[in-house]
Amino acid sequence: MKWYTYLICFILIVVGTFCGIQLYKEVKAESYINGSIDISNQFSQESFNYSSTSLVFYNDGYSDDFIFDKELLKVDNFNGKDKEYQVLLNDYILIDSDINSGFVFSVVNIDFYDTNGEIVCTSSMNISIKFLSNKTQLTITTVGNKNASYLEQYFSDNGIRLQVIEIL
Amino acid sequence: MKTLKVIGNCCLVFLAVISVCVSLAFGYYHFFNKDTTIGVNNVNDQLAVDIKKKDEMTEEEIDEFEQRWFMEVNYFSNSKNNGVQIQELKYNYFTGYDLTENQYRSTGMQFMGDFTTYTTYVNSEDEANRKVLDEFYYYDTTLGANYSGYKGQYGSVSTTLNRDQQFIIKIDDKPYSIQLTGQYDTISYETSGWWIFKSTKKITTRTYFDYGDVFDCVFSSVESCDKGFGDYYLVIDLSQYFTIREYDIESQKFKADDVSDIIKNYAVVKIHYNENGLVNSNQSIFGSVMCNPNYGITDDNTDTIYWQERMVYTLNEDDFTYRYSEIYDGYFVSLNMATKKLFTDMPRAKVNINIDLKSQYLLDNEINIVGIDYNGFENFEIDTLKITGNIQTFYMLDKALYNTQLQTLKYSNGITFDFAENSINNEYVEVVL
Repeated sequence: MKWYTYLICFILIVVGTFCGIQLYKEVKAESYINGSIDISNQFSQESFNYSSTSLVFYNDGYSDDFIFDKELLKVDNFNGKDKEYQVLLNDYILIDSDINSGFVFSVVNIDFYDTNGEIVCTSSMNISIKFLSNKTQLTITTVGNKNASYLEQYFSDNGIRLQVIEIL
Repeated sequence: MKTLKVIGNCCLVFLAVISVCVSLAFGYYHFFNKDTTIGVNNVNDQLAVDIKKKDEMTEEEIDEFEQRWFMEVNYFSNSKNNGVQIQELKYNYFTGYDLTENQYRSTGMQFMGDFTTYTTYVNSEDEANRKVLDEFYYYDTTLGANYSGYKGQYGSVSTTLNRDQQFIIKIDDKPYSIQLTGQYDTISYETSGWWIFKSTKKITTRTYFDYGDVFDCVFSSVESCDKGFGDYYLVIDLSQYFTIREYDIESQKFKADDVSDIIKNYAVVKIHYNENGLVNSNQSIFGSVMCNPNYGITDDNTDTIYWQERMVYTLNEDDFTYRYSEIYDGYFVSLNMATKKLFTDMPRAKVNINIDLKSQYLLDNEINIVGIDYNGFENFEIDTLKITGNIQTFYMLDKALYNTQLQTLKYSNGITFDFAENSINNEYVEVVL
């Protein structure tokens, strides 16, 4: 055989080997599913529960009111008329909450002390929760930039965990 | 010797013929076989394998550990024009294939405004793979701390988001890698020459996707989502952009799937879409805006540093219980054990007590208060006790204010107090109203 015949044979064998490996992989290939997606977009919640690592008040630019406004998932079966509820903000029970059929209103007063034990800010905020047919409207308001700043600092340090729990 | 050569040549020819047959078989199978294989990679949560199961976690642990998805979006659209518009996208992944909590790492990009992608012209694939978009602020999150060490695409101690970057992620509790590899070709035709001598030349332009393209697509999906503003999840299709490789335990290599006909990659994106604008860095998922962790916090000169906060409660007539005394011909007030316990369980509670002797509640219920009962407010911390109303003697019976650490006693001019010997055991300030 001529030298180029050897070359051609060699090339054919190399190509054949490559094609053989690829053919084996393709014939053996199977469809597969790795992992699974496990989430559910919730459209309602059993009881009111809002938590966040911080809270920011917005000022409308026309008044001294600072407002935090948020639309949340609707709450199933809230009935402030026939059932008893307890409102909790972080570790505090808001004992004087005004609870109506589909509405909760609480006034929260927090005093802030400096390192000498003197009060540096006496803040007050109103929490209103409206339980609507398709959503829950949470509104927290305070008056004045100083109050808003201190409350933002408090929520930044402690987070906010607001719950309305049915007393069974 | 000659015989051996003939045999060798025959074997060679035989092998060559076999190779041709195999090649033809491969060609036939590859081009004419209609069977297809589909591979699907679902990228679910990216919680470490050593994290406790949800059922075993406390509420605080659930808040901290429950949520960790491959992609997180934080979008303040500023629709209400009350802040600045900002878009943030964070990738959560691992730094090792053990997938344990100490291998957590996140890298993210932040854009001030509404980003629209564009085509970056590059001279080579290498350049495309190294390219980092300069419009973004980049952050890394390690051990719960966020930082940006990005100083341009050729200097960074934070993870650079370019096509060379390969992340380790978790699928089915096993390590996989994910890398931005997507590209596409656009074909155009250029005609040259004149009349019958015209010739048309086919020009193929290759474009490499970058992280800006992914960013734009993700935020377009958020903006077009019918859920609107709020917190929710989308499962997006990353097939066009990312390649996912499975980790081979034996070879310890991440291997690409180059056999399946169709490969689909899906990933969960956690979305926070807000109609407000961002006003301070606390709202950023990186805790920083334009690499400034104090953005919007110290601008207004309001010093909000404090030592301690106390939640203020004010108790009134309708919060007490009453006992009638025939000897004093009036009612003594006290606080029930449940209320005392409630405040004892809230150590930062600051309780003020207001007793208006002429309040409508007392008038309606025909209650004339004459004092505070035995052990009435004992062992219950009171900041200020305020008594207003009639000109009368107000009796403090035994241990009425014992262990209350009362700070201030405010009362109307005309009220005189008759303290029992053990009624109170601390000093306080008196204020006559």
